[in-house]
Amino acid sequence: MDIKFKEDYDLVDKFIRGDEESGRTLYADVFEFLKKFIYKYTNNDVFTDEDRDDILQNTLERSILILCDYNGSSRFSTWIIGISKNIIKEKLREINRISEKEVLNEDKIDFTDIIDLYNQDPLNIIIAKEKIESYQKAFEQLPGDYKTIIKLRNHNGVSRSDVSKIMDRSVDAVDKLYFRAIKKLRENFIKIY
Amino acid sequence: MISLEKAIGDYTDLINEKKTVDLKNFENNLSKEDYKEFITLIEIIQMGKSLKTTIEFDEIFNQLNEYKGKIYNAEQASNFRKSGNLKDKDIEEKINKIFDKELNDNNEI
Repeated sequence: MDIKFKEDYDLVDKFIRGDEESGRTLYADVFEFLKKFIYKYTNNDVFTDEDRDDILQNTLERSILILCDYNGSSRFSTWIIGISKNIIKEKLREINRISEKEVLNEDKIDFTDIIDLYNQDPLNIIIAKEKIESYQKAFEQLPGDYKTIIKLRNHNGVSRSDVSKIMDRSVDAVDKLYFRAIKKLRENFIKIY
Repeated sequence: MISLEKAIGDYTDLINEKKTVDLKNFENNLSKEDYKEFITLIEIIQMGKSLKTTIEFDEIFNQLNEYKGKIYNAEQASNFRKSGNLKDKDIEEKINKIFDKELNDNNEI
């Protein structure tokens, strides 16, 4: 048997034999890609957000169930996309609201769409364990008001005008506080990481 | 020219609203020194944004890993490649059945 994607094959092999880190690497690489694919394929009125979550969960579980079938002849991401397509069709039959052809419209998804999904969004990558631990430590070391503003602006995505109302400060004051907080967070992070 | 504080605030609003970020705009509106610092600071902002994705992934992966543990016990895991995959097993079973049938037919003769 020709193992074309040896790196993926080896990761699967190690993961099945009990190496958790290999599994983490394997699934971290496909997680966002898979989510984007499911969203793109089910972005219509038929599927709800809950359905999409179910599809993601079922795809991942099914992949575990048949993991020993992965033979390295395709990329792991391509293999898992194949599973996902079947799960979407199964879900559709379950929902049974309108005909399969109308909803999936497979012809609409062309190769360039799939390639586009491979481009990682720098804001949604899976960060390495050590890096995330360092970030969390650096964050914990910040003074209270710095933590609050980073939580609001950065982690929870609140606009500067809403933060100015919440914190009862001018927009300029919010910008200045946020800037100092980010600067301090970076300093802390560099010391730790 | 804009201040570095405002640039960081603008950048954060853009990514919070999931709008496209054109770094060239920031480069044109900041001094050379400020732009250099801006680039280093947005790295930490991006990391903070990825935190949510990473935490979500970790939760899901922990469940998956547990599920994997239930499916592949230690003995199976060490022999899974040797014993072949599920499709091979199915084929093997089918062949065995055919042979069994043939053998029975022969016995009858």
